[in-house]
Amino acid sequence: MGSLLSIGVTAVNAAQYGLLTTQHNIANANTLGYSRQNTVQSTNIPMTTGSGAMGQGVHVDTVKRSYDAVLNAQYNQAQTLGADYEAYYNQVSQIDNILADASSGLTPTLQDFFKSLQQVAANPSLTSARQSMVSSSQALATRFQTLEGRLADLYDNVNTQVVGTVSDINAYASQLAQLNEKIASIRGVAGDNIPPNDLLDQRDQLVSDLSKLVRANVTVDRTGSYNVFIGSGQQLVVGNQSFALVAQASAADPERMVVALKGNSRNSELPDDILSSGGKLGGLLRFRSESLDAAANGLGQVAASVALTINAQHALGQNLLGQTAENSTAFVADYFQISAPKVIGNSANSNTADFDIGFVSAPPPYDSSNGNFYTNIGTSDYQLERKASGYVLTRLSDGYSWPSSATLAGVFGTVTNAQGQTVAQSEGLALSSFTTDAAVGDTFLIQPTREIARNFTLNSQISEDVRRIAAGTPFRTGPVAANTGSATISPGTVSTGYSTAGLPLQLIYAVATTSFSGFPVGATVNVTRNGTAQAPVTITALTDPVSFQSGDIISFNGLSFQISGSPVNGDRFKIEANSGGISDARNMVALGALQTRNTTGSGAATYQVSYAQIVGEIGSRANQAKVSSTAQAAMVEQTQKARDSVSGVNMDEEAANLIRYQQAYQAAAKMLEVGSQLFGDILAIAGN
Amino acid sequence: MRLSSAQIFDSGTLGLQRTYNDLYKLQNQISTGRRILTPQDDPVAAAQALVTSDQQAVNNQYLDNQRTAKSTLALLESHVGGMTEILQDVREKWVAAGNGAYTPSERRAVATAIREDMQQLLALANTKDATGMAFFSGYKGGTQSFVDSNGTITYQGDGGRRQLQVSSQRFLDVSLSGQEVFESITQGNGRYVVNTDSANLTRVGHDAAAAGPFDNYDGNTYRVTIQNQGLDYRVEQIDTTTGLPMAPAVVAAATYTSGGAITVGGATITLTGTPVDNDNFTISPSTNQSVFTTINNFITALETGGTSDALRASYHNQLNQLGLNFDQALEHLSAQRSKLGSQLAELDNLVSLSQDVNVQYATQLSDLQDLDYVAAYSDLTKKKTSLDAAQTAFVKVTGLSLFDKL
Repeated sequence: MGSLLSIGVTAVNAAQYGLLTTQHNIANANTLGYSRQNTVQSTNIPMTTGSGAMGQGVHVDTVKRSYDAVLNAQYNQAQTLGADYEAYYNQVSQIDNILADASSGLTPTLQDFFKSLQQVAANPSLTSARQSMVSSSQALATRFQTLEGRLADLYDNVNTQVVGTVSDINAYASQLAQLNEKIASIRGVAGDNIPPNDLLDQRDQLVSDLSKLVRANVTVDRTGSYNVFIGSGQQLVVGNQSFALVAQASAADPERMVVALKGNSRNSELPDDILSSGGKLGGLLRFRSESLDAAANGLGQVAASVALTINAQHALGQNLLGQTAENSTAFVADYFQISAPKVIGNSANSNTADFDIGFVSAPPPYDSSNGNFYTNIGTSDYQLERKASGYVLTRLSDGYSWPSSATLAGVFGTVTNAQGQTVAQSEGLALSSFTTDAAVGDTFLIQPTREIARNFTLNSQISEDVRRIAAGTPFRTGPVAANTGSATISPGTVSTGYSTAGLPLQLIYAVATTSFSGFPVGATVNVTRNGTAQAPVTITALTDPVSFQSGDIISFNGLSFQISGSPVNGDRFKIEANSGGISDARNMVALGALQTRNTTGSGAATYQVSYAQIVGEIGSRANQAKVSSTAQAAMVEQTQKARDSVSGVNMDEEAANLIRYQQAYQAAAKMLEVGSQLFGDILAIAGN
Repeated sequence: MRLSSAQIFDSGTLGLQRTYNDLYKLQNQISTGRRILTPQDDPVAAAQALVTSDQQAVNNQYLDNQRTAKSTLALLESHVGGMTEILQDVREKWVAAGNGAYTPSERRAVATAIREDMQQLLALANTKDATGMAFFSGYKGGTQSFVDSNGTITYQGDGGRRQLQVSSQRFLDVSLSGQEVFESITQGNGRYVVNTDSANLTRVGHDAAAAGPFDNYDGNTYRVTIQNQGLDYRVEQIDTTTGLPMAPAVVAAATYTSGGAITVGGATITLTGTPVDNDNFTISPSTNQSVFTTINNFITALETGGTSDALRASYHNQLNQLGLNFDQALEHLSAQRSKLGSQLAELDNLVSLSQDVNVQYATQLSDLQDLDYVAAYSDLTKKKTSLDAAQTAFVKVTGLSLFDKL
């Protein structure tokens, strides 16, 4: 009889536990990371009687959570990549919107600038045309600055987010360590059979949250504690201990926030690339090094090329005041002004060696077949390191290193790459000056184009007096009125280093020797005939003849012109300084022609094509990020589904369980009632 | 597979969100008419569109320059046309002046009329453009092209040619220098001239052959001298530097016949009248003479001509020479006009080419970035239908709960 009641009690208890667990499930249906729980029950040890083994009811062994470690790990893995792509995409789509906008991108202002240039070419002496050229130049400068400003905002934004993410990571890490400790202590008391399900869920959720910020590798140790590692194996959590990360300015570039491991005396910086895959942090760091740097450097490359090539051509002109680079110190050669490449000494450098890098700006290389200047400036940054053997320069985009040279000047001047080019030739960079030798191990970061767009301005001397725009060319050519032959002379161009010494002069044609004479004494005359350079003639006397054929391009002292047609004996051509030449716009025409010339990327692309390359590159990165992000979102969804199908709470299921345990409870209670009735019956018999 | 309740909600909202995103993008595309909203939508086409729009802008720039060049050249052409008219007027007066019946006072009246023409011509030569720059001064736009100092008119500009870029490889001259238009005009028949010695007492008129070809002329200077009481003539070659006959002393000698042609060194002249011994005529290569000098010479000839036989002959000779020079000047101007005309024709071609190219660029740009509205609308309808369905399904599915039945 006693056992009848006691079995009933075990059944009531078991049903109650079942109801409690179901209620707990329903209550936590929307709790993040919650795994549904259920009771595990088994029969009590039977009582052996003469009639056989009598069952003794039921008891609840444990409350188990429905949890699959593999599915959970898969979910975390998917999430870490998902957060990475999402962060990357959110950032890169901002640049994408800035650069190619039809009204706020670079393209329209660049076009306006050249349009205004052509107006001056058509009316070189018209002040209003010059004024409008100045206005559109200022608009171009402002546009470069604005675009750079937007990119600088993104750099700041990345820095802020890195700081925030690191502090979140630290918070998660310390919570994880605390939970590790709690779980271990519960386990110590209750043993493995009675797991602290809700704490385990919380800990798994923390790992999942952490995975969204940084790729975390989790191992479970003997005591069931989670050990978390990031990057290339750096410890974040071990047992009940967490290690703090700090966001700090990079030693190589103080404007960049990087992640470091906190140390007792010194923090050790983690290179961006070991953290740049996985989590929001990975997305941010990869975005910065892959897209933002490319956009900022590319924009700077276009800005530097515009300034350097326009300046070089402008320097060959003659302004409305009659000034040229040769005849006046007041001549303004630079139309635009830009800053020098940025050189940053690593903060860990042991001494303060300091040096400056400049662009090869005086002059940039000249493409004589098309008649335009171009630049070799690339979009990469460089690292210069002082090693025991000397200085080594490394291009960071592809890791190419020039062989080392004993001196810094040697690296730029004499050390050559496989193609036999020096740094100045292939990279468009030249060393301006350096003060002291750096100590072994010191490194410097060279950012040639990073801040060029920010510091791109119209020379204020030009905007103060628009007459200083050099639209003309310092010399002119022309036949004398008495010529009776059909020969004509082209208007003439000058090249860098030209000299008008010996002008005015007249070239006289002699039919007997089919040659011109009258070149200035001491000059070397170069003749290009049908595209082939002839042997140069050095003039020792005014009467020295220079052989002539129709179409010859003749140049001396940096002045060149073409004579075509048939001169007759005694025909003369005047070569003279361009005094009073205010209607001459040859230099402006040459400046205008730069718009369609290959002026950037070592003479391979126009300004516009270079810019379109950046837009295309950023656009495809954004596109790629979007595609990856969408694909990864599907991946996250799938792994979440897989996980939830095991661990998630289904309300209908719980409703069914509720009914099931309710009925079990009712049945057990009935059992007790029956037992008590039977007992009553017995007592009644006894009372009789 | 087991499903959790959260899953049903999550996947429902996710699906709705995705469709909303698609609809939002479609709506943006339709409202802007652009297929590419940001470069990420089609990076290659976006970069290409940037380059194409730049090429289009450059092409438009050329088109602007072509129009500027065209109006400048048309203005030049009309100026040169005006000069031609003035010169033709002067030449008509030259024809009239050949009338032997004109009295000296009548000639002077003609001279006065020609001075007027001269002033007109000078005014045209000194024209300024809309920006106040001298038209015919080359690069020296701030300098008056021609200055008249006591009847001597000198060019102040230079030989500079202003240019504009009218296509990627073509830089077109858009100016003519005063020197080119007014000064570089060959005299005589273009190859040689015949000068009469001013000391001649002869009443002989000369005519250098007015019709070609003159290319046989060897370019040497010859002097034809009358000798032997006017019966013969001899021809000597003259050294241009010393002015003296060269050896052999006499190149040719023959009997003089009035109206007979004398050919020497490929040049032919005809002498008419009764000569006196030592009268001489020099044949030398043409040099250039300014049109102003030619007109001035005409005025001088008109004002100094007398009635004696010798003066009549000299007047006749001068008029002969002037007639050739006027023809040269007119021919020169017409050559300039036809050069301008061919440049204008070239510009017309360039303009229509640039306009064609512009249309092509526009088409290319539209292909690259414009939206296909038909496809977009059908897409929109499709997306909208699926959104409707998803919304209905979501409400239905999430409305199911066993708890409702308890």
